[in-house]
Amino acid sequence: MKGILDRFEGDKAIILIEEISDEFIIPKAELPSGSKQQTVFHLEKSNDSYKILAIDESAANAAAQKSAILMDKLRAKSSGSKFNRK
Amino acid sequence: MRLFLSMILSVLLVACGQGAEQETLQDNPLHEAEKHTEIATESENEKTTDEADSSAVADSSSSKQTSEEPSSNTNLNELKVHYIDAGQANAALLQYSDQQNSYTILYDTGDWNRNDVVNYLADQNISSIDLIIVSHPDADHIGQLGEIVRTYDTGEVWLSGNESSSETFQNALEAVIASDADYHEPRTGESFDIGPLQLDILYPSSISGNTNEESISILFTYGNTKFLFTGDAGTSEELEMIGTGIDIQADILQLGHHGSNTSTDPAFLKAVSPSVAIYSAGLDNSYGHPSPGVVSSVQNAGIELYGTDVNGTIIVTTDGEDYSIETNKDGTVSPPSRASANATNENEEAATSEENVNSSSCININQASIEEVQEIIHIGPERAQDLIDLRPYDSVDGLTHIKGIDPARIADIKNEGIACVGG
Repeated sequence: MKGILDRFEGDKAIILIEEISDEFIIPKAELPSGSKQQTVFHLEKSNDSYKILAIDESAANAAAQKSAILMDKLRAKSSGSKFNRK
Repeated sequence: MRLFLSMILSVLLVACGQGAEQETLQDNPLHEAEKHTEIATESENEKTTDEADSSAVADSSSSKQTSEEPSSNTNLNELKVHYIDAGQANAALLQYSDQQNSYTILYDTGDWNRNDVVNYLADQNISSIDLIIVSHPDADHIGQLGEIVRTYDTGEVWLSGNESSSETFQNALEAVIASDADYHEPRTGESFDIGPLQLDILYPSSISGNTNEESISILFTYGNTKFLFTGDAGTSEELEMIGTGIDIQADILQLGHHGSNTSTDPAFLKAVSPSVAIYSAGLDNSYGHPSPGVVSSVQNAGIELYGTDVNGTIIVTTDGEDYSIETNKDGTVSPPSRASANATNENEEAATSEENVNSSSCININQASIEEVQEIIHIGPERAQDLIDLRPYDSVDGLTHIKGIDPARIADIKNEGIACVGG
C-alpha cells in the first residue's frame, strides 16, 4: 500500500494511508533519507503499525502533478473575492 | 461593563468514531474547576506540569491595550464564534446576521479521516456557507473541505495557494471546482467586508511552499471585538505580522499551531495582548500540544486560556462590545461576560513578564520522564534518551553535552523557559 508524508509535528512525521483511511506517526529520524512533505512511500502492515519499504518517486511526481493541474483549474475558475472592501 | 445573560448551550456530540474523548474529560482536574466557573485558570497539562498557579482567575483579565476606536454603538446582532472540538485538528465557525442576511464563515475544516466538523455544521442548521477559509493544505486543516463543499452551497473558498499531493487535498479541490464557489488566495494587507464583519489579512504576503508557515492569518473585527486566527504560522511569521504595521491587537487569539512552541512568540503575544486565548488540540495527543511553555507564558500574562482538548467546543458570543464564553462541558459553563478591549481594564498589574515563568510548571531535566523532556524545544526522542543518559545536570547549560545541542539551541531552550534543574 501507499502512504504520503502529510506533515511534520516537531520530531514526528504524519503519514496518511488514504486508501484505507488510516494514518501513522513515526519519528522523523526513522524516515528514509530524502523524505520530505509530500513524499510517497511503499508501506506494508507490520503488527499494529506500518513499515516503510521504499520511497515511490514516480507516485509522488504523479500526485504532485495532479494537484498542480487541479490548482490551475481552480485559479482559472474565479476572478477573486466579491467581498473586497469597497 | 454589561453582563450577558448566561445562556444554556447544548452541543450535540455526534459520535464520530472518536467521541470517547468527551467522556474522558470527566476525569480531568480542570473539569472540577469548571464546576466553580473558574475555567481556564489551571493548566490543562496538570499531569505533566503540576501547575498550581491560579493567578489567571476568570476575573483578572490583563488585556493591556485599549482600542483607539471610538465606541461604535451600531446595534449589532450577535456574532457567535464556535471553536469546534475537532480532535487534533482545527475548525472554527462564525455565525452572525444583520437586518437583511445571515452569514456563515468557516475557518479550517477539521481532520481528514473524521466527520465531526461536517456533523457539527449539520447540528447548527446551516443552509449555506458564505466563505470557507482553509489556512493551509495539511490534512488536519483541509480535512473535511470536500465533504462540506459538496453538502452546502458555498459562496467562496479561500486557500493559501500552497499545494499538497494528498488525495484529501485533491478531493477538496475537485469539490470546489465542481461547485459554484468563487475562489481567492488572500494576501497581506487585503481587507474584506462580509456584512458587518471586517476581515484583514495579516499573512502570507507571498507563498513558497511552506505550508504551515504560510497559513492564512486573519483578524476578524466585529464592532469593537476582534478575533485573530493564524493557523499553523510560526514565530517568525508572527514577527512579520507585527512588522506589517497593521494593528494586530485582538480580544480573542487562537493560539498558533495548536498551542505548539513553534508559535506564540512572546513579542507576538504582547502585540496582540488578548484577554482570551483558545487553542485546538486533541486530548492526550501524540505531539505534546499545547506546549507547557506556551501555556505558562499565556497564563503568566493573565490571559484566560481555553482548549478544545479540555473544554470541548468553545463558543464566544459578542454584540461587538461585550462577549461571553461558553463551553460544552456537561452542556453549560458560563463564565462572566467580559468587555472588549475598548473598555478600561482595571487589572493591568495582573500581567507578568513573559520571562517570569512560573517555576512550578517547569520540566526538571534531572527527573522528568523521557516523554516529558521532549516538551523542551530541540529535544526529540533521540536527544531525550541522551538527556537522560547524561544526568545529572547542575544547570540547563549542561544540556550542551547532548549531541546536536549547540549554544544557539541552549539559548532557545532558555528562552522557552520550561527546562529547569531541581534544588
